[in-house]
Amino acid sequence: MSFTSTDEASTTSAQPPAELITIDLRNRWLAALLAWLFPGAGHLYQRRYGKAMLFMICILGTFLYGILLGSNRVVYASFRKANNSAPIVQDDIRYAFLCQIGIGLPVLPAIIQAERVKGPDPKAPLWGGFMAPPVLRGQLVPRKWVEEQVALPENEREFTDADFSPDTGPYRTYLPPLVNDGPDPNGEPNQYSRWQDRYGAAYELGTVFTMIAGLLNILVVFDAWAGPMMAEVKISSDIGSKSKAESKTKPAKI
Amino acid sequence: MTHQFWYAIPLIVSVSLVYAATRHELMQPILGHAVRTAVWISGFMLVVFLVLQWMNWMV
Repeated sequence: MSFTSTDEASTTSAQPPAELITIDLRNRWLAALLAWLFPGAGHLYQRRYGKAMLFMICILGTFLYGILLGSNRVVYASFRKANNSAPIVQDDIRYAFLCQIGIGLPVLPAIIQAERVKGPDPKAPLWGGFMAPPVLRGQLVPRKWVEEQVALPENEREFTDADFSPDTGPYRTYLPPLVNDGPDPNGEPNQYSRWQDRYGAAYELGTVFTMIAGLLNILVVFDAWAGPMMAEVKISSDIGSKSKAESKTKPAKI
Repeated sequence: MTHQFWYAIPLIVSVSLVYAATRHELMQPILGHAVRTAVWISGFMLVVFLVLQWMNWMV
């Protein structure tokens, strides 16, 4: 597959191109997949090294800075609705994750953590709770994990023993003291509300940074698949198993 | 409150560079486009900020 274009934004279709650049997009579908899996990887595969480095530094830098701002708590996957079959009594739908997942493999820990902590026989989150979803009111957690959490130093501790039911057996239920007397359990405290209390505006900023990093990577995926949206482009490509030549010219747009 | 505006700078830089890089292939036009995008975003944010400030003074 070859991609021939000019990078002169002011060139019009009536003028001859000032400089032709030939870009070999190689297998564009594989490049797009790699670009989604890790920022810049698709461009590395296409041997577009300068742009690969730019995307890697900008997108991963934004993402990591967001995680730092949010104290490792802003990226998690949670799409839990309270219902009769689930032990939790609160909803937790993390829409921000739909943007964050645009960055690919760097959010894989969030999916692993979400799978571990859900269901009637949950496991303790790994890696000190990195990218783990917050514990919700009514959620079952392993007894051993509770013992580890309440034994943490005071500046790192997020739970006390009084936050959990005194059940016997391998699990305990997260039931922090009630604040409201209203019928809506979503108004009651949980680990998420404690994160917001503790980290304040930095938590929201961290969420925004990580969301924008994921959204930017979607632009990068498109660039790996189709090449840059330049003022003048001529595309010759083989699509699918059939050899099909196509060329098009886009008018200048800035 | 005002110190939180500094958080916009890395975002504007990152968004401008990535957006420009998806429209061009060579570094020189990428950087030129990134500067124009950054100025545009900053100007837009400034206008929104001034409108919000004006509304704040009115109420």
